[in-house]
Amino acid sequence: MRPDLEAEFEEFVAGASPRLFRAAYAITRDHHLAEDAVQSALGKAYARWSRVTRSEHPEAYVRRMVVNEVLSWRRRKASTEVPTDVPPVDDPRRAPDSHDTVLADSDAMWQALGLLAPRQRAVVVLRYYEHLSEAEIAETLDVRPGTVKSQCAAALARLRLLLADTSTEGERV
Amino acid sequence: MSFEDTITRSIEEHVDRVDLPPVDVQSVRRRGRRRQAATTAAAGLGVLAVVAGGFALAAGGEGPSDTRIQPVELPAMDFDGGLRAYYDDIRGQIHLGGRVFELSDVPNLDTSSSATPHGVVYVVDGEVRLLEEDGDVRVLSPKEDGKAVSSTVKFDAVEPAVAWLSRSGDGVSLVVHEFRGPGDETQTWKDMPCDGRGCQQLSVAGIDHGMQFVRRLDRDETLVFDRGGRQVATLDGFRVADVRNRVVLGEGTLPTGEPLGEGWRFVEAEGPESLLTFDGAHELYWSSTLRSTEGGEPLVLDVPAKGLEFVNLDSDGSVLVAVAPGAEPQRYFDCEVPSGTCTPIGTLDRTSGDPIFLGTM
Repeated sequence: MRPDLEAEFEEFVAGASPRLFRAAYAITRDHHLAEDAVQSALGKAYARWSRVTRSEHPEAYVRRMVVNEVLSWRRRKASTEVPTDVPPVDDPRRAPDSHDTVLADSDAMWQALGLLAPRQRAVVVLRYYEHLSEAEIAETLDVRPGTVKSQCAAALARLRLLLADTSTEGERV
Repeated sequence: MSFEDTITRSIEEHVDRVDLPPVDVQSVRRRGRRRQAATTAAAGLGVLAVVAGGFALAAGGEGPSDTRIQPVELPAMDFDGGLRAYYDDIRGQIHLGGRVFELSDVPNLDTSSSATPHGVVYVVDGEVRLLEEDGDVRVLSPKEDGKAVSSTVKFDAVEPAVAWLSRSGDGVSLVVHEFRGPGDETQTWKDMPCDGRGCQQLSVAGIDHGMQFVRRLDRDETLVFDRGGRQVATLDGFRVADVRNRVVLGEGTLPTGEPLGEGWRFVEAEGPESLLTFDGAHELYWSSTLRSTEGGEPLVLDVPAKGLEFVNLDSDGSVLVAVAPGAEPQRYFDCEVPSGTCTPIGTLDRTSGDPIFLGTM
């Protein structure tokens, strides 16, 4: 690679890798896997850096590689993965203040997100964390926008169901 | 708070508190190079395979870095015909200014070093150094705590100046170092109009006639500053690849009107790696035939028609070419512009990787 592009790549890595890692972590929820997925995707990006820089949005281009890498990792790991149960939202015997409630909601949501199918979780992360449009998510995941819409709707329905179950479970404690 | 807001907040809270892993750029590069090598081998191609060999590895931080400014005294070189700098990865030697050095004698030169008419400008641990024709190495800009220097250094082919970016937690500065004469050098720092993520995306694209071009990598935009540090234009939708002799080469939407004043013209580049000859008349892009930027005749370099491996502009405006037809050794040429006449400057045994020039990019 030419020196100018080497420097560009290095600057890109410095600037974009924290965001890429966070997105990867949000989907994998595994520090090591997220790190490895980002490193692997960046390696692929390096190998075709000229093409990456010719794209309209280089970071979007690499993010797509990261997400694909993540989902690939997830597939490889799926056979050994054991989903965790959603823990109780909070101890219902203590009256929560509003701050506690928010934190509890946040934790329960995080746990519920962990129970989504990887591709559904990727859709949710890209939509509500990366704030991508349906079209952008479709491009990232290489699916039709309609698929993104249906996956997102299914994910939200599943989350609502999981959180409702959690609340019920909490009341039984 | 809506259900969707809770999703956003939950992810942010749980992701933002995770420690970010350090970025191992060298490891990423190694992965990339292995992938390139594998891809190239699988495709049965070999000409432009990038498998940077020992040079990049040795200079890229695999071992302890040499913090001495220059481990051995170097003899004087001859830069009149350009630096003509290329690397022999089999022997571990670098050819530079008519001399041949062991890599260990010039340990910090690497492919990101910049061949300029003033010598080789390179960055070591945040310190900007200059290897001059007489063999001396001196510091152009000392290391400052909390500041990092971009390895991209551009030089003005018309005025005696080089430019780079200095980064800190507060932002990014464009540094222009002028070589007015012996003992008469000045350095100006200009804070770039950026914040946060945007600052990470800046790169020096070129400097010509004192005008400085800084592009944003994440969008098609180039900022232009005059020699007084005033921003004179933002070239929306246009990503500058190179600038020479008031010709601005880039990708995207060609600016209309005269945003830089009379005499400047904009030309669409063939690719992001395109370079201009110093007269701005021709574009160098992975070929020994250089397209005219004025719609005229191309410039054809007098090198073997087949087996082109690498091209680059040298510090004097000539074109360096590496050619390796078939299994023959790599032959290096220095080609004059605009005649296209080429002079052989060296022959190397086939190496496992790219021919490596210390370029002007």
